[in-house]
Order: sequence, then C-alpha cells, then structure tokens
Amino acid sequence: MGRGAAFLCFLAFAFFSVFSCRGEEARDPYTLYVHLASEPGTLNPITSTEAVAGAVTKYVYETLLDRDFDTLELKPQLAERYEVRNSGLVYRFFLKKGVLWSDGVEFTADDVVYSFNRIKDPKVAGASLKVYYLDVTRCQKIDRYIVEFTCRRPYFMQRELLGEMPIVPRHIYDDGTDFNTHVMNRRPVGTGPYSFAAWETRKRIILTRNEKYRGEKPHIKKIVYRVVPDANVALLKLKKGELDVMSLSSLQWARQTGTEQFNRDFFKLKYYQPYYNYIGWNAERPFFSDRRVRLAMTHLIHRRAVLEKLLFGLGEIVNGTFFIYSKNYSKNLGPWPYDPERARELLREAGWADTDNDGILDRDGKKFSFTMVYPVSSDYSEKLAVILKEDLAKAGIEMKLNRYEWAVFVQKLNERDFDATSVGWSLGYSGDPYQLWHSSQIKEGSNFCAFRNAEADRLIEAARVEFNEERRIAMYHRFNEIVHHEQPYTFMFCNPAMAAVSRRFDNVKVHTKGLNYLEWKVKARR
Amino acid sequence: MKRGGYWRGVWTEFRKNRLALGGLAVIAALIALALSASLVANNRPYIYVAPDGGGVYFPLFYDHPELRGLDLRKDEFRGFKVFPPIPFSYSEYNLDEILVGPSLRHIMGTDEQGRDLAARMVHGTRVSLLVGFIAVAIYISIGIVIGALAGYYGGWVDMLISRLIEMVMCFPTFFLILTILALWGPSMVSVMVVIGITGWPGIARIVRGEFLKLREMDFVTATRALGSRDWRIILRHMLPNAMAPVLVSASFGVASTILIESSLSFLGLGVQPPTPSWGQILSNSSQYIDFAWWMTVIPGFAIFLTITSYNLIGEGFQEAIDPKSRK
Repeated sequence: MGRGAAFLCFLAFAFFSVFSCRGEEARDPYTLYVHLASEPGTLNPITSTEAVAGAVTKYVYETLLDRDFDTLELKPQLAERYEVRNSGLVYRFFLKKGVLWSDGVEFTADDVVYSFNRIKDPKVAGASLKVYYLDVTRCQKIDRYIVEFTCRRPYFMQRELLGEMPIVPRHIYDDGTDFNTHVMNRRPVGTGPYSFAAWETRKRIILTRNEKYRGEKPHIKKIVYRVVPDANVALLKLKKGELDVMSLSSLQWARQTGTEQFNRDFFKLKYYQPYYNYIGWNAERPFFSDRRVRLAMTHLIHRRAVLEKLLFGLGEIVNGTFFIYSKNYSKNLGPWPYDPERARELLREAGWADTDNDGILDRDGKKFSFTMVYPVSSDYSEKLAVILKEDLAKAGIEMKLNRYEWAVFVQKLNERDFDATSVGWSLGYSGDPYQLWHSSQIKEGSNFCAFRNAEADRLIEAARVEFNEERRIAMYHRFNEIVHHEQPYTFMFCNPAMAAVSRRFDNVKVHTKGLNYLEWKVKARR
Repeated sequence: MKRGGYWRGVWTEFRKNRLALGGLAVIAALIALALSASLVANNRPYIYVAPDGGGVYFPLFYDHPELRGLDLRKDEFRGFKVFPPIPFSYSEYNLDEILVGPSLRHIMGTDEQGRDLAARMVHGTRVSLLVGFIAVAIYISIGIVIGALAGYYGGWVDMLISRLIEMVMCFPTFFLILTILALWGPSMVSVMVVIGITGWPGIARIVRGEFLKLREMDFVTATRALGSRDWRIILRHMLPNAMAPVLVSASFGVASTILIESSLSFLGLGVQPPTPSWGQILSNSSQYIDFAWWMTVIPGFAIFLTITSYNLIGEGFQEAIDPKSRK
C-alpha cells in the first residue's frame, strides 16, 4: 500500500514536471530565444574560433567595413570611407566620429591599432586569424580618426580582410592582464546594435538592445541564447515555444518538422552557405600517394545515393574547393561518377591485386588496409563511414574506423597522423585556396592531405596579386581542373543551412549571408 | 566428497526457486545466441547447391573465392540454398530501407542506415555478455587475491589492504571509468579492463571477511598443523569455502557491468562502430524516438531482460547458500 502510494506520487510528480516546463520563465514577446548547440569558450572575437561564439559576437562587435546581406559588397560600418594607395600596398581608413562603445567611451583609431597589434602579438591565441594578416606589416594612427595599414605585397583579398578585422576596445583590454584569459572575454563591450547583459554558465547568454546605438534600432529588445547541447531536446523546446530559432539537421528537416502544426508555428528556411564536406586522402601515406588510387576511391563512393537517402536529398554534390554558388566554382566539371568497375581497373593499374586470395588487395606484400578518422560528434561522418566500409570491402579494401573527440581529432589532422578523414570545411565568400592547397602549407598550414602540384602553386600565387576579377576567375578555373584531376579529396556535398524560426516574427528573410535578426519585427499580439 | 555434497545441496535449493531458474534459462539462451550469432544472422547461406551440377558450397563456413562478392540471396542464383533465420549481416546497409518498422522481411525493423536490427541485436548480444563476463572475471580475480591476503595474514597486511580498499571505494566509479577511457581511447577491451580494475574492492571485502572467519576454524588449524604451505591452505582449503558469497556478488556484478557498458556505449565511449552493442543501438535511437519506436523498445527490453535474469540468479543463489533463508 505504502509503496503504491509512493509510486503514484512519483508519477504525479513526473507528470507535473513535464507539463509545467512551459511556465518556467515569464515570456516577453520582445525577446528572441535562440538555440546555441554548445557553450562558447570565450566571446573575444580575436581569439575565438567557434561558430557559436560568432553567432553571439556578430551582434555585439562591429568592423571597419561590413558586407551587404544580399550583394556581399563591402560597405562602411565603423569607417566612413577608405583609400587604397601605393598600388595596393597602403590602406587608409577614415573612421566615423562619435561612435560609442556600449560603456560610453568613444571609439577611435587607438582601438584599431590596439586590436591589430593583438592579432600580431605572438602571445595572443587565434592562429587561424593571424595567417590572414601575415603580409600586413604595420598599422599606424594618423590622427584620432584615421588609421593606415601597410602591406608587404599586394593581395586581392586585403581590402576585405582589413575591413572585416575584429576590433576590441583598448580601454577595456589594455590593463596589463593577459589578453587570452581577460575577464572581459566573458563580458564583451562592443559598438554594435546589442550589448552584452549576462552570461549564466551552461545556461544562457543574454544581449539587450543598445539604446545608444547610432543607427536604426532593431525591433527585438532582447536576445537570449539558450545552451541546449542535445538537438532532440532543443527541437522539443522549440516546439514548446521555449526557443524561437534553431538550426535543423537534415533528419529533423525531412522527418520531424513536417506536421501542419509545425508549419503553422514556424518558418522553415533553407539557404546555402560557403561550406562543403569531403573525404581527404593523405597523400603522404603509401596508399594514397598514387592519383589512380585516390580516383578509384572516388569512383567507389556512391555520392548520389548517400545524398538522396541519408541526407534526404538536402544538398549538392560538389567537385572542388570553392563555394558552389561563387564565380570561382567550375560548374562544367561534372563530379566523377559512381563506377566500381572503373575503380577496380584503376586499382589494378596502380599495382593492387589480391595475390594471396584472401579477399583483400595487396601490393608488395602489404595489404590495402587503412584507417579513417572522424570527429565523434559528427553523426553524418559516422553514417558515411559505416557505409563506405561496406562498399570498400566489396572492392577488396579494408577500412578501419577511428573516431576521436574534437580536440584530439584536430590534433591528429595537424600532426598529419591519419590515412583518411571525413570532415567539413567552412570558407569565406571570396576564398583564397592558399591556406588549403599551396604546397607551403603542407607542413604547418591547413593542407592536411599534402596536395603538391607545381602548376597549382603558381596559379594560387598569381591569383593572390591579380586584382582583375575575370582573370583571377580564369586562373581559379584552371586550378579547379588540376584539383579535379588529382582528387586529393573526394569532395562530397555542400549542405544547406536549415533553420526553423517562430512565426511570432515578421519580416524574416533569407539573404545570401543568412538570417538577420536586426530586421525582424515582433508581430502584434492577436 | 564433502565439497561436492555442499554444491549439490545449493543446487537443490536453487532449483526450488522458479524465478531464478527462469533467469538461468534466459542467460543460457542468450549465451547460446551469442556463441552462434554468425549462424543465426548472416547474409550467406549454410549450404548452396548450384544448379545444373555447378557444385555444392558452404559459404557460411568457408570463404569460397569464386563466390566472393556475390549476393546469393538474389533470385538470379537459382539452385538449392538454406539461409539462416535472419538472412542479413549486422553491417550490411540498404539505403532504400531506412528506418522501416518490423515486418516479415525485417522482423525487428531496420536502423537509420537500413541495417537489419535483428541481426544487430543478435550480434550485440556478444558484446553485452562478453563485457559482463570478462570484466567481472577480472575484478573477481583481483578481489580474491587481495581479499585472501588481507584475511589470511591479518595484522598490518590486513590494515594496509583495508585502507587501500576504502580508498578505491571512495572513487566515484563511473567517472573514474570515463576518465580512464578518455586517456586510453574507447574500445571493447578498454571497457572490460577499466571495469575490471575498478570493480574489485567489493569482492575483496567479502573474501577478506570470509577468510577472517575461516582461518579460526578447526580444519584450517589442522591443515596448518600438518605443515601445509600458506598458498596451499589458501587455494585448496579456504578459497572453495569462501566462493559461494563471491559468486552471488558476481552475478549481480555481471548485471551492473552490462548496464555500465550500455551507458558507456550510449555516451559513445563503448564499442566502436560498426560493431553493434545494445547500448549503442539505444543511443542511436534517441534521434528517432518520435517515430522509430522499435529502435528504442527492442534494445531497451533486451537490456532489461538480461539484467533482471542475472539479478534473479543472484538472488536465488543467495537464498540457496544462506541456511537462514531456507524454508
């Protein structure tokens, strides 16, 4: 009896707690609740490398120039105008006057110079940002509102790199404490339309509208970023109205958000961003130093089927390193087809045969058995790996799988300690292949798979100093042909960004650059 | 003679407990399933007689090079063929049958890559049972050695070992396991070893207690008087008399180990894909919980059934060796 009653109490409690979540927080209609899949380590735009941090800081910090949401043209933001002098070696920016940091101090040339010096400071973290400013030798204050950058050599992307350089307030950071671990990295002060209000560890980050903002004020008064690591839980919270915005996985998009109710409550938005995923074949390993073997691997992967069935057709097969919707991409290079027969021929030509009749190919007494590494967090990579393992086994190739926690995985890539890897890559809008494909980047840069081609090197170098867009595109198209021929990667897909946004908001538009909370309007209550 | 009599008595008592017997039957069936997993779920036939005198093959037992890469299930291979009850391997995928519910073709449905869930469950039995047995065997061995030393010698040895046991017991085991796995990297072997080297203090305590009791008994004094060496007294005379409570604790231990393995697999730290384990299937199912119920219910039930069976065996055993609980 006593036990039964206790159990009933427990049931009642469980029931109550499930259905009482809705009342957890009094909802303010002018607050936007955004899903954050993980908590950022820092909100310092110079040292941070995480996308989740960028999602927050882009509304707090501003840069000298800013890209138009649709045309991607650079337009003034903190700078009023700029001049290019000395045939592309000197850039002079004229700053807007009277721009205030959210604590009321005026933004000046000192902040720009300070930020640049931090990026160049070897003690400051953020290696991926530093490589973009290697050729910029100096940043000089001309007067309170004028700064001048001097470069070692001309570079077609210099204007946007300088224009989009992150800028932090000198009066906050320059206090003698360590920049990387500065307390204000968790309490950013910016010039943007929203200012930082609170950060509750592992729970939420709150921004409030910057009432002193010089430009047009957004309609939404407060942005609450909720940290919900589990995507299934996040989707439940979205459906219950505890989140207004979240990005959806292909499964969620295709199978779990299709109800009439969902579409009445939410916009489902899909747009392409510069991103692709690939399988990289480490050319420094004996298996993949031969172009024919790499090409055979591409022929063995049924990309169309994987895309259609596993990713519900959400994405495009890509053939090269540039963003599929940019002019640099070569649309005429059709992806290599799925062709196991041709793959077998290529492997035979490369000297791989099953001489000991054990079902696995061998060459010079060595079996074709390699390991593919991928991050443990990637559900897609795991599914792909399992499928690939089966398909390669049919062709007589043994593939082992090894998944690593993200930090360890990145370390494996950086140490070139892998045979093959499945991973994604986000790129810029214009994109310079130098970091990924120039042979100088094999040792320490991002040329993980040791791609080495003299003509490609020449093209990459020439394109960097080519300011004529058409001629540069022509060079890149030739570069694409080389990469396509060499198959250092098996390029897989460009998957769209997919998001669900509550219909509480109006004027929700999809731009080339993605979504812009600044233009959203809160619907009047019915 | 005397020992045989004791265990026979225990078995007589044990048999009276229907639930415990049922548990034993379930475990026996699962062990049989684990041992014969490749015979129960496989995409190759036991026997294939090619038509028109093409020869007789045993593809499941022997890797005929001429049949390599052929899918004999297809109708184009006429002739006599006998397939296992589940004619799928645990790793073969079919992208056209993703997340299909249970049907005649796939009796337990398919998973997110169109792999047959029944085949994966059958092969997953191996992991769950093996991890349970081996991990517990490891920690029982460690526990017996350490406990026997403490209990037999007593004095400062006992004092030292008891403090060591208390120290190890203070560690939160699951988090210790997580930490060690993070260092070693996840694999089935590390899971077994980690559980093995963290689970022994309980067993060591039991053995120590038994030995403290036994060493004062007359038969031990007698053996000592006859001039037996210490190790002989410990192994031949005392240990058999201390085993019963250890085995009870072991059967509960296997149950909790299976649960730990499932939790670790659920967190992605257990067995690595594509090897299936119940915990891993359960973990994958969380994404599809709203429409693919079979992915959650089937492995969940299998884990429940196994653990309950082990616990019933443990309980039955405990009652059987405890004269006080005999009716």
